[in-house]
Formats: sequence, C-alpha cells, structure tokens
Amino acid sequence: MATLVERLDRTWEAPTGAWSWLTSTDHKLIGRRYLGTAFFFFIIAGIGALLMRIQLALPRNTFLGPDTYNGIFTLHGTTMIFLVSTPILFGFANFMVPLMIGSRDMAFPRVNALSWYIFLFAGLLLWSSIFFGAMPDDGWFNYVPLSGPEQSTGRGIDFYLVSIVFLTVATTAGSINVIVTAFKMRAPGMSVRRIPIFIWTMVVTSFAVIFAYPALTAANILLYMDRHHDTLFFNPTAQGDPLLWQHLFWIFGHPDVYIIFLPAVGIVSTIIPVFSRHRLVAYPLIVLATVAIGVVSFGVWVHHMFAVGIPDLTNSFFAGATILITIPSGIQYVAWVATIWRGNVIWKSPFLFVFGFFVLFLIGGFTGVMFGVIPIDRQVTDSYFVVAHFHYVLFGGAIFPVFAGLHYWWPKMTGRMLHERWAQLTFWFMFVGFNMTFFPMHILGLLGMPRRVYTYNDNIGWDALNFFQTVGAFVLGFGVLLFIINAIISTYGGEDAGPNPWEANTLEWAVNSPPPPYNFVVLPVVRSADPLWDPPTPEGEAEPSALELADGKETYGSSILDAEAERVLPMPQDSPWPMFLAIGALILAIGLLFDLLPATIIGIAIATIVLVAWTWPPATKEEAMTL
Amino acid sequence: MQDETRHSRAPELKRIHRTSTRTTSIAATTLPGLLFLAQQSGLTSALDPKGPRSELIARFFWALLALAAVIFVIFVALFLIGSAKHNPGDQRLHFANGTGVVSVFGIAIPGVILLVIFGATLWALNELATPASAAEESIEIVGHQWWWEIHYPDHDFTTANEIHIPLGKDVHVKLTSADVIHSFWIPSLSDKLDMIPGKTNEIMLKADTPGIYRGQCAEFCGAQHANMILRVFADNDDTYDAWIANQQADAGIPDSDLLERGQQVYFNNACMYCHTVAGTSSSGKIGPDLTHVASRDYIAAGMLENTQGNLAGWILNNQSLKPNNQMPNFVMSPEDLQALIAWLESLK
Repeated sequence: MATLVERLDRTWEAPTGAWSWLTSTDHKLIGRRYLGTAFFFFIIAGIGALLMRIQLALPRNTFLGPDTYNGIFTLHGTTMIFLVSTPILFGFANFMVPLMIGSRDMAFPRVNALSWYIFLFAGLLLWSSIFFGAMPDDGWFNYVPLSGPEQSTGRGIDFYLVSIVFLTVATTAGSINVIVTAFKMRAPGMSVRRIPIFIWTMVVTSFAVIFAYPALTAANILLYMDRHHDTLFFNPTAQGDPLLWQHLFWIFGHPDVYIIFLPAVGIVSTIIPVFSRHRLVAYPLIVLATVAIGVVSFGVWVHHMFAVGIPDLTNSFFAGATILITIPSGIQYVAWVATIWRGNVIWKSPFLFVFGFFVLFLIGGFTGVMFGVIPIDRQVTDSYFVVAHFHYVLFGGAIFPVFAGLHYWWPKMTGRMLHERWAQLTFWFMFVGFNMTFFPMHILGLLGMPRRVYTYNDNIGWDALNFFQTVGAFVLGFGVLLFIINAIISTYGGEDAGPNPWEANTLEWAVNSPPPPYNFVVLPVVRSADPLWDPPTPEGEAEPSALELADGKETYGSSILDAEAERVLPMPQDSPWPMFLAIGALILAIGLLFDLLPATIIGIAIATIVLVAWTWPPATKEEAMTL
Repeated sequence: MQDETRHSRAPELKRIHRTSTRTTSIAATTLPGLLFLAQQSGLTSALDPKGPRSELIARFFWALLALAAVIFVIFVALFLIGSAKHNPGDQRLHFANGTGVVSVFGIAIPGVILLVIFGATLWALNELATPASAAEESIEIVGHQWWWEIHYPDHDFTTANEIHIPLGKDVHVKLTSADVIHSFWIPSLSDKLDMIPGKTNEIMLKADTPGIYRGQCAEFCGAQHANMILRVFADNDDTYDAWIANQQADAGIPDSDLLERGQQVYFNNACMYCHTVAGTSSSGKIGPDLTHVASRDYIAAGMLENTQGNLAGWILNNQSLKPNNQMPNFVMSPEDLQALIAWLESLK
C-alpha cells in the first residue's frame, strides 16, 4: 500500500507541458494567472497614467494631443476598475479561498478556468483598440450622448461596450464560484462564526457582483443597440434619456466601488491580527459591517448625479445613505485599532502596507463624507478633488491592501520570501509618491481645475502643483518597479519560506509553500476561528480527527451554517473545454464589435458545440469519477 | 467707454495671475502652504468665495475639514502608539474581546456626528434654494462643443463665453445643451449644475464683490473639453447698464475702406453661415455670435486673449490650436486677413 501522499500525488499531479498548462483547472494556477494578468494590466494602465502626468506637467504641453490623452484616460480608468482592481482580488480569492476554508479546489474548477480565459481575452480585446486607432475616449463611465452614434462615430466606444459585456461573464461566473465554494465546501467545523474574514468579504462582494453587474450589462447592450441597430434609448432628440444611462451605470458603479473595496479590507483584517499577535477584535461586528456595506452600497448611486438637476428631496435620501455607509467603515477602523492596541505588533512589510492603507483610506473616507454633503459635492464633483478622492479610496483603499496581500501571501504562493528591506523600500516610495501625486489634486480641484482636461492655461495658478504631481507619479512608479525587481530576485534567490513564516492563524498556512495540487494531505477539522493558533492538544487527549480522502480526485462538501461534512464531492479532471468556449465567445465578441455576421455565427456555433461537449453526461459513475 | 473698461481690467487680471503663480512655486511644498495657496488664487477658487452659494459651501467645507483633521490625528496616533509598544519577550497570542469598545467608538459616537452632518446638509440645501421669483435678471446658457451660447431674454440679445451680471442681485440662470452634456461651474460664485440636452436646469447666481470669475466646463464633453472656459463679470450698476445697452445695439456700418473690405472678406469666406453679426445678413447659429466680439476679453471660449495676433492665428490655424473644433482653417491673403481683423476689431 502506497503512502497517503503518494496516492494523492498519483491522483492529483498534473502532467507538465504546454497543453496541460492551457487546460489546467488547479485553482492555485488559475489564481496566479489572475494575479499575473491583472498585474500586467496594472503596469500598462500605470504607464498610461505616467504619460498623462507628463502631458499635464507643463501648461499648454504638446506631448499628447487631445484625442490621445482622452483615449489614455479612458483606457486607464476602465482598465484599473475592470481589469485590475476587481480581478486582482478575485486572483487572491482563487488562490486563497479553498486553502483558507480547508478544501482542495473551487466548487467549479472548469468554470474557474473559463473565467480567467474570458478575463484575459476581454482585456486584450479592449487594449487591441490601440492597434485599430480606435481607443474608446469617453471616460470609464462612458456618458451618453457623447458616446452615442452621432457623437462617437469610430469603433472606440464599441471596443469599450463589447469587451465590458464580455468581461462581466467572467466576473459573474467567478462570483458564483466563490459563493458556492464558501457556502458548501468549508472544512468540517468551520461554522459561520469561524469563517476567515477574507472569505466573508469575498462572499459579500460576490453577491454584490451578481446584483450590480446586470445593470451595467443592460446599459451597455442598450447603447450597443443605439449604436448598431438604430434604437433611440439614449437619444434626447427622440425622447430618449441620457440620464437613463447614468442611473443604470451608477446602480452598477457605486456597488462596484465596494466590490473592490470589501475584499481589500478583508486582506487588511486578515493581516492586522497576524502581525498584532491578537485575534481580530469584534469579529461579529466586522462581519455585520461587511454585510451592511454590501447592502447599503446599492442605495447611494445618485451621489454621482447630484449635479444633474434631480430634485433636492430625492437627492437627500441618497445623501443620507452616503453618510450612513461611513458607519460600517468606522466600525472596522475602531476594531483594527483595538486589535493593534491590545496586541503586540511586529512591523513587517505587509503590516507597513496596511498602515499605508489605514492612513490613505482615512483621508479618502473623509472626502467621501463630503460627497454625501450635497452642496459640497456639487462644488467639487467632476473636479480634480474627486480625482484625488477616488485615488485615495481605490489606490489607497484597495491597491495598498493588494500590495499588503502580495507581500503577505507571496511566500505561500511561491515558497520564497520577498526581501524585507526591499519590500519596505517599495512601501516608502509608493506611499510618498502616492501622496505627492494625489494630495495636491484636492487643492487643484478646489482651485477650479476640472478633471479630464488634456491641458490648461499658464495664467491660472495650476502649474506648480501639476509639475509637483508629475514628479510624485514617477516616485510612485519607481516604488512599483522596486516590487517587480524584488519579486524577480526572490524567485531566484529568495529565502525558503516554509509553511508558516508569519506564524499566522488561518488554514492556508497549514500546508507547504507552495501548496501541493491537492492542498491538504488530510482534510482539516476546525475548532476555532484561528485554527493554527489553537493551543496544542493536552497530552493524553486524542488529536482532533482529520479526514483522509485519497482514493480519487475528491474533496468534502459541507452544510451551509455549521459546516458538517455532508458528502464526498468528485473534482473534475483538467479540461480543454473552458479554453475552447472562451475562444468561441471571443469570436462572437469580435463579430459583434465589427458587425461581422459570419464571425458572430461561427462564435455562437463554437460556443454551443463546446457547451454540449462540456456538459455531456458521463455514462457511468466510474466514468464520472475519472473525467 | 466699453473698450476702456475692458483694457483697464486686463492688467489687473494679469497681476493676479502673476502673483498666484509666484506664490505657487514658493508654497507648493508644504500642506499649510498649499491651503494658503488655495485661498490666494482669487479668480477661480472655491475657497475664496465671492457669492453667497460658494460662501456657504466654503464654510461647510472648512468645518468638515477641521473635524476630519481632528479625527485623522486621533486615529493615526492610536495606530502608531498602539503598534509602537512592542514587547519582544511576549510570545503569547492574545484573544481579548472588544465588542463593547467598538460599539461605542465605532457606532454610537460616529453615528451622532454623522447625524449632525446630515442635518446640516439638509439645512444648507434649504439655504441655497432661492426661489426663481426673487430673480432680478435672467440669463439662458446653451452649452456647445466647445463654447457657451448666452442669451439675455429680457434684453433680447445673444453673446458668447462671457457673462455679465449685476452686482449683489440674484440672477436666474437657465442651463441646457445643444449637443452633449456639459456642466456649468464658477467656483468662486457657485457650485456646478449640468447642462443636459433635452432638459433645462436652473440655478441662482449672485456675486457680492466686483470682479471677473473664471469657470470651465466640468463634464467631459469631447476632444476640447479642456478649452471650454466661461468668464463671469460682476459689474456695478452703471457698468452693467452700459454693457447691456452696448450689447443690444446692432453692429455699426463700416466707415472706412478697410472695414468695408473686411466685411466683404467675412462674407466671401462664408462666415455668415455659422456666425451672427446683428445688423448684417450674417445670422448663422453654429458658432458664437460675433456682433460684439471685440468687446470680449478672450476668443475661442476663453482659450486665447482677444488680440489681433490671436485672431489672425485663430482664423488661419484654429485646427492646430484647438483641434476638432467645428471651424475650418481659412486661407486668405495677408491684406484680406488684415482687413477682416480690422472689421472684427470694430465690432465693439
């Protein structure tokens, strides 16, 4: 009889080679791809930001013309929201959710593979607009009528519409996957009171995706119809309504801010206890706060529209909700401070990035309350003040936690430590550069500088601040470059990480770094919210039972509330169908984008055939187990 | 008379600009310096209010900023002090509960503060809601890509890109758009309000101090969104009445060969299909009304000072100055150009 590990290796070990790379359904591989792809988009959208900063460094600069500038800021915003912030957090989720809940994969590994392919294709489709000389150029919220058929005659807006709708398939599928995984696949004993906070935030975010994205999809399809099939949904000269677009877009758009923000603070709530050597204070309140944010975030969208002329009475409800949503964030701030205060803090690079988040999101939160105050909102909205605000909220509030997460989980994902000194240097360059770039934007906005201007006159008093910001942007960019260098150095010469270098509390640290394909040799049983911090079993008592499951590609399914083991779930083998389905969908998207009927038909045909093949029922149970 | 007013203002304008630019370079490095700077740049600063709307908003803003600063210092201090007291000898893990602390400092206290802020918001909205019946003057503004069409319905004339309002009086402004969404924003006087095609928004404007107040379109409206600038002149009564009287008049008849030739060049180049010059057969509506173009400080929607050189550059080469604007470049002999500019300069 072979040992347990040998039997698991035999069942789970994937063959190497290009084909198996393309067809793999291992959540860890897909998670790393998600992170890598999103990071790639982060770099190119960041380079776009540097180009914009060069243009704005001097008044009446001619480095970029208006068309190029407007295209770049549109791609920058669209990419950072759709192709960086959301997917990078789903990347962490893909890698970490099964590990943190003690499972062997996501609930739907092949859907997971599909999500990544569609995400990649949608991103490349959007950016390919550059090679067609047709960058979308109406900003990431793409207001009509400027994006309508009369005003935007090129293909630029179509690139935006089609790739975003295409992408929402990936995000929605990913969300369903996360919810089912978190609900049904937790280790026995991981009842709702013991679920790691990052899982909670991912679940709430995933629900928000499922409810928010349909509004975006609807808006994009309506505009696509206006542009390609002569409908008049948004055309004011035919009683269409430009404000309909804004409502639909922001019904999606504001929850989306929290879709990005919640998992980011989930990372923060994960890291603070580890480096404070103290469990998370007020865990139930933080969970409630997370859920509350998810719900209330659907009631604040009109604060993006306070200046469109909606009656004050209507506006004031949304102002109330906007101010109210501060409370759940406040709960988390107090809980973090209490955790730190009662703990015994060790300052390491992940904690340093959390500190950066703490400071920056505090500032972004204050300006956020100001946007709930309708008169102040109307004074500063659409100015550089709002550009400052949402960079504090999204870069400070989400990208800093992402970097905290990268530094925290890097050893788990690669098996190697990042160089700590370099990591701290990365932080300081990013933190100082960030504030140099974005803090002065508050002032510029108050000085009357609107957002999205490709140039400005030299006699208004905006020159010095703009130049200063451009310098700051390069300092920030240098910080990111340091991280990339550190990552490369660590890959080839980093210290061996071992299973749990931070002496952390959650299950992903119970397995080797990087984890084997089956994650856990024996599936864990959980007795507390911080399983790795449980006191050692007293001598003479039995160790808690662990579950062996080594006779097939299997994991446990458990009940929703108490996580009692219910059944053995077979896990699928690697499969090429997700890749083929994504290719079919890509051909369909290209057909719709360029009005190529044959491509549309071929795309639909491929997708249909692949779906049939993918879901073809296996003949026998034995066959099902080996699929 | 009108001409003198304009030129006497121009140097003043420049002086303010120069001062603020110099202050910028000195003060830019420190936070207090930056806030000081925000107070100094008079023409276009939300924090240097010159009318009741901006005044109230600026006060509210400063109050919130002070509150935020206090909370910021408290939280960052708590974080740093709490995390600085590291005890390397202590290897234990800690499991204290803090639900009570979090409930008080995370829910109860912020709840009360936020309730007050919300109440103040409702109060401020009420303060700002001046009824249209209180208005002593009314203006209609239509946004275009990328300029501002301005009507004075009570005085029956049209102008562009520069508004005059009587000092200390409530002015009722109606806003709409001819193409895409634009947004009306004069930071020193007022918060912004969008200009939406097919919809009319209304706002009350009032200035308490004489001066020129600058604003820019605040909703992205296409390629030249950056060059859609509006100026509001807050005039005392005499100046204002004189300005209105002048704007109501038709353009004068050319009284020299040069001006006659200039007018001829204007018509020969088909300018009348896009522009209006009241008193002539030129009545196009696509571009700005030129009846009194020489009375304005700037051309190209606030982008270029209204000088002979800039006018000439604009006519010959506007597509490289302001790419994608709806006016084509014109080719003409130097003599024709000179005559055309002389005629335009005569439209005071």
